[in-house]
Amino acid sequence: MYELSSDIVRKLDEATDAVERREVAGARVVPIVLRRRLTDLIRRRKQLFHEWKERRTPYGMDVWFSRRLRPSAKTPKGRLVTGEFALLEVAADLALIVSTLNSDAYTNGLKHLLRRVYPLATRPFVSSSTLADLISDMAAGRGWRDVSVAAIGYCRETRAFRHEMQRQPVRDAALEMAQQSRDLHRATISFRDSQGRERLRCAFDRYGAASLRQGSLHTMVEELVLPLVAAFCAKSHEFDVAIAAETPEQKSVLLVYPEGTLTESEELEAVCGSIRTGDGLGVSVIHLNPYLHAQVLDYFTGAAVDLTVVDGRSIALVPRTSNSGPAIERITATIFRFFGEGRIRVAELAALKGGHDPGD
Amino acid sequence: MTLATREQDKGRVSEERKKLRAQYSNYENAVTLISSIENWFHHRWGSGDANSLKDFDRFPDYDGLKPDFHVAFTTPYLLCGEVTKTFRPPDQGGHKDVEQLVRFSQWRPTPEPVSRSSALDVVLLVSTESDDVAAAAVLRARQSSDPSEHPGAPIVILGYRRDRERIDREDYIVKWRPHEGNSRFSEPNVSSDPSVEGLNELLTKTTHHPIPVDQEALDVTRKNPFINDDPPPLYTLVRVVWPALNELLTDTERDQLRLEGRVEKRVSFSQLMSASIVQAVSERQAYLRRALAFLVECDSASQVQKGQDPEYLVKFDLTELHAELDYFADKRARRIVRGAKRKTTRHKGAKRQRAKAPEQPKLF
Repeated sequence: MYELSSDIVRKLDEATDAVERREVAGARVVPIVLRRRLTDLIRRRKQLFHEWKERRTPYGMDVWFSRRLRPSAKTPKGRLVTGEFALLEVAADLALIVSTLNSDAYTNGLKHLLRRVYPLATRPFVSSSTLADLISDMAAGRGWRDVSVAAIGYCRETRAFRHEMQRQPVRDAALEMAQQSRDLHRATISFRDSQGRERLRCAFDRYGAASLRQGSLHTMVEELVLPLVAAFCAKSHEFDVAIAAETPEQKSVLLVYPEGTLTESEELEAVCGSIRTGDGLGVSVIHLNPYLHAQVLDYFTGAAVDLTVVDGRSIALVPRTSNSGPAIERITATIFRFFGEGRIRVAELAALKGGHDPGD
Repeated sequence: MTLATREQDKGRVSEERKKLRAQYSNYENAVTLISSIENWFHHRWGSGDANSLKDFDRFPDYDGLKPDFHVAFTTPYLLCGEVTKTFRPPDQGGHKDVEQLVRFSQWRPTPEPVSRSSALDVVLLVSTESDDVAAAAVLRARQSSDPSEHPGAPIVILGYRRDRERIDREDYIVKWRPHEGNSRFSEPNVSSDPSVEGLNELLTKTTHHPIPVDQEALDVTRKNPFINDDPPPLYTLVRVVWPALNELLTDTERDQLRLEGRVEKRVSFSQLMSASIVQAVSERQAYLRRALAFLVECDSASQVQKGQDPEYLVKFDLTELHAELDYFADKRARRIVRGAKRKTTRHKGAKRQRAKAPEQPKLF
């Protein structure tokens, strides 16, 4: 489990005070799991910005950036977006980005970087059920009640997000959404103690990004963000499937959906389309009807992965190059996010005979 | 360019693209069928109680003859396999196919298996619409052959079709029909143990038999996606060469790709051969060279150095690489149509000069 140094806690408390004093509307924390050294990530990605100034601090570093946006209808000469954020170095493989940026500076500035950290770092991603469990477990552990004040879920059929404003425990919201083929993506939660007092209010999503509305940033990070990162990292190694010498021994990462999910060619095309939304992912459909065989290339790691659906409900990912772990992990997160969530299993191809139930 | 010309061009590009995709699909379907057959043999007799399968070879070479597969059993038993979609009647060009089958049936391996009346069996898998045509052609070939010549091995004709009724997977349904000219497999075949079900019990004495296209079948060709027939260069490009080029991008090139969305990579043929994806097919240099030439004809690469180890400048543009197969087929089709137009224009221009001044192209 990750430990927060006192310098980091001090910085988080500073941000909490700023929120309390209403100097800022909120504070956002975004975790990134480092696959290379943080210094390498910064060196290779700061060129994304027009200007980048960094200052070393006891907790990591402070960064000030400016980014030139292209001309648009409203701004025919383009415009400059500026902002700053703090990079908290929690461990060699984990950094937290803390910002109090407004929506514009976040979307056009910081998010621009976050979308491009791969493969030097990965944004963690967990399933809706894991997200709901983490929130419930946190509340139960402190003797609090969790109430979803607003939730959004991604609908597999309409491929759109829908808001849910009914106040209910987060687990109930997630279950209700699941029954309607929707995956809970983000919830704004109010945590209340036994006296009904609100102790923490924050938004929290499947990427582990959390926005504080009221309460302590330190609590939010310690109790929600870090456990989510740990849950994500615990599963990471599952994607490191080796290339076996013989076909029967070859394992595949299986994404299992309810029966009948992947029987129509439109659904199979939707799976391919969902992967294509990922930057640097290319999908060539080798065969579409009635089974799917596609080749996925990851231009940011050089990996090649074969994707097949032969049983109408599971997507099998098999590596063709030896460094495919991060690519398979990313393909899975992209499918879960833009097509719909399934259950992850690692199984030998030999075990997947026709008609065999992929199981739990 | 007029609107009418543009529409015509779009139509021509679409036609060329369809041709390229059809070539690709035909080869890919043949690869899938043969891999499914290989997988089926391995499952039935490659291990467990039967365990009499010695080797399934997807690249047999019978002194220059190249059937689609060759299976050897410890019985001993040899099976030579050929796969085709449609069998044309001999008078419509199919005579070459029949001659080839007869040549396969007359081939004798060295050393020859002992105590057998014939060296091997030949099996032809053909789509069910033309298994009768194939049987008739074989019968005629046998009847017209020199009686003093060795009659050759039995030629077993199996019809196949894809079963799309199942929702949980696809099968090839294989049927043996008692057409005149058709043979059954020699006995014993896969095993000398009479309790083991052999090729006749499974294939010629039943109404039909399913050969599944499951995960393992599709995995057979993951490392080597070829069969004995030459692949269309689009297939080699998409399945081997382009993934190999992607593998070879350096960190700096990937960073540039990330920051600017495009990068040009200089790569030599020998560098391409060092990619891990190429290792299983490293003898197929001719296929790889053809695929690189195709890439140049797609305007996605240019050859910057000739010689034994040519060098290429390859363009990677992320905005265009979300669906590589579609992309390369489209670019090649456009280039084909452009090239054809240039030839016609040159030709027309030359003719017209004699009659009157050539018509100026309308600038848009």
